[in-house]
Amino acid sequence: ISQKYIMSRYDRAITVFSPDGHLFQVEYAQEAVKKGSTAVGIRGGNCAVLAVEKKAAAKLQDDRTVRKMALLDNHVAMAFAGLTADARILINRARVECKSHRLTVEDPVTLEYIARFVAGIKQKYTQSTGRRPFGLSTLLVGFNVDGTPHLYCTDPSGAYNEWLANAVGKNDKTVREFLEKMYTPESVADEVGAIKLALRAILEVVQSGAKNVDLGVMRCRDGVPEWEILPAERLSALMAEIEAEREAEAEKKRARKE
Amino acid sequence: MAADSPFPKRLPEFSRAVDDSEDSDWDGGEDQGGDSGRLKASDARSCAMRLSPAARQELAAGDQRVLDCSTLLVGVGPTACGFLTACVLGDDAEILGLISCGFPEAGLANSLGQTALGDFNCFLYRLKCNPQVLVCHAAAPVPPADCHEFAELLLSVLDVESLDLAVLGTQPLTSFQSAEPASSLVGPLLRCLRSSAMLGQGKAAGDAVQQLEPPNLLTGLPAQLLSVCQMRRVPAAAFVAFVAEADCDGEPHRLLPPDPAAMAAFRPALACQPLRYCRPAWPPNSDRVMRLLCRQPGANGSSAYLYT
Repeated sequence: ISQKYIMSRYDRAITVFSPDGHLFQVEYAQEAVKKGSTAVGIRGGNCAVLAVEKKAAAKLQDDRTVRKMALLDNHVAMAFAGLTADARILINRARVECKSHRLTVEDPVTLEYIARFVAGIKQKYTQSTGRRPFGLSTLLVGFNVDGTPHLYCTDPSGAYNEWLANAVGKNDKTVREFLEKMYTPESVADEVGAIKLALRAILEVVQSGAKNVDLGVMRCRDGVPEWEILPAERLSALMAEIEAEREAEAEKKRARKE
Repeated sequence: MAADSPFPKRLPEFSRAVDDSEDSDWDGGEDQGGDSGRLKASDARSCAMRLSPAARQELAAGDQRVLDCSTLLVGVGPTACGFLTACVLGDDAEILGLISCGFPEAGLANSLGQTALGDFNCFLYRLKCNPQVLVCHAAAPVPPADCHEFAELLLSVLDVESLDLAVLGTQPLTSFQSAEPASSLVGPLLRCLRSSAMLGQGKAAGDAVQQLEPPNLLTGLPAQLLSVCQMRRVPAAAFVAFVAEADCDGEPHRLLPPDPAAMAAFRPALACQPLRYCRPAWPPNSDRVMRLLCRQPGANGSSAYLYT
C-alpha cells in the first residue's frame, strides 16, 4: 500500500491517528498558517508590540476592513496568520469571553487565561467529528492587572506557549532566527527599542515601506492599558532611522575589514 | 453470497473509527457520515492530458507516436508564462493540448478554448512561425505530489532523444540564501541550473546567467522537470527568477496579472540555450504586453482573500 494511499485513509477524519501517530488534518492546518502573511510579536520591558505584513487591498476594497490585528479587550490585542474567516470566528468568541469574564469575575482576563481559552477552542476542533481544525496561529499581547506585559502564541493544534518574541505565518522561520540573534532584554527595555526590533524583524521578509507594514503597540500608562496602531508617517520615519542605522553598521564592518 | 465465499470479506474504504453521533455544539451543516460523504478512490487527484484532434492525428501518424518538437519551453507560474507569452509565443500560436492536475479526468476542460485565468489547466502551444518549438504554460499551481506525474506526462508525447528543454519559474526573493542579509538583497535575481547532458554537449558555453549557488535549491515543478530530464539525459536548463513575494506563483496571486519588472528578470535567459534558437523578441511587442496585463481575474478572484 503506497504512502499516498495510507495518508488518504487517515486524513479525512481528524479524530483518527495514522499508524505512525500523525493527525494529518492538524498538520495540514499548520500548512494553511504558512499561507498567511507574516506577523511578529515582541514582549518589551514596558510594552508589547505586534507587527504584521500588510496585504495589498484590491482597488475597490476598503482597506480598513482588511486587518490582521484585532483588539480583544482594552488590554489584549491579537495578530494572526492563516484563514481569514477562521480568525473572525475566533476573535468574536474571544471578545465575548473577555467581556463575560469582566462581568462575572469583575476583573479583566489575564493573558494566560485568554490564550488558554483560544487554544482550548482550537483543541476541541481537533477532536470532534465532522469538523476541521482552525487554520490559523495567533499572537496575543497585552498587560495583566499587575502591569506586566505578556506575549502568547497559539497554533492550530491547540498548543499555547508564552514567548519573549515570536513570528507566525509565511517566513516565520527566517524571522524567528533573526529574533534569536538580535533579541536581548536590554534592546527591548523601552518602547522605541521594542518597536524597532519588531520592524527590523518584519523587514527581513517584507519590502520596506509604510504601506507594507502595520504595527501596533500595547502600553500601560498610569495603570491604564492603551493600544495604538502607529500612523504611516511615524512608521516611515522609523524605517528611515533603521535604514540609516543599518548603513552605519555596514560602514563600520567595512572599516574593520580594511 | 458473501457469507458463503471462501475469501475474507473486503473491508470498506473508510475508517470505522469515525463516530457519526451528534455533538451538542454542532449547529448543523453537511452530514459527513456515511459512504456518500466520503471520497471514493476513483476521485483521487491525478494529472490528465487532452490533445487537440490535430495533435492526436500527428501522434497516430508517426512511428514513435510523438509530436514533432526539438525545443520545449515550460513556464511555471504567471510571471514566467507572461514572459514566454510576451517574448516567444506570438499571436498565432496553436493550442495542441492541455494538462490538468488535481482533478480526475472527468474534470478536464471540454474545450481547448477555455483559457480563462480561473481554470486549472496548463496549456501546450506550438509556434506557427517555428513549429519545432512547443511552449507549455503551467500558470496554474501544480501540487507537489503531482509534479513528477506532470513531467512524465508532458515528456511522454515528445521524442526526448532530440529534445532541448528550458523551464522558467519563480521563487520568493526572501528564500534566496547568500552571505548578504536578506533585507539587503535587491531583486529580481536570475539563476540557472542545467542538466549534465546540456553541459556535456557544450550548449552552456558562454551563457550569461549565473549558476544557482548552494545552499539554494530549486523546488517544485521546475525541479521535477529538471530531475526527469537528468535521468533521461535530455539537455535541459531551468531558469529561476528570485522575485518579490507578490510576484511568485503562489495561489492567492495566481489570478493577478504578472508584474512587468518581474517578467523582465528573465531577459538574460533569452541569450542562452535553448531559448535563443526560438528567435525571441526583445523588447516584446507592447500591444501583446498590454493585453497580458489587462486580463481580468476570473470568477475565483475571491480566493485571494482566503488567507491573511
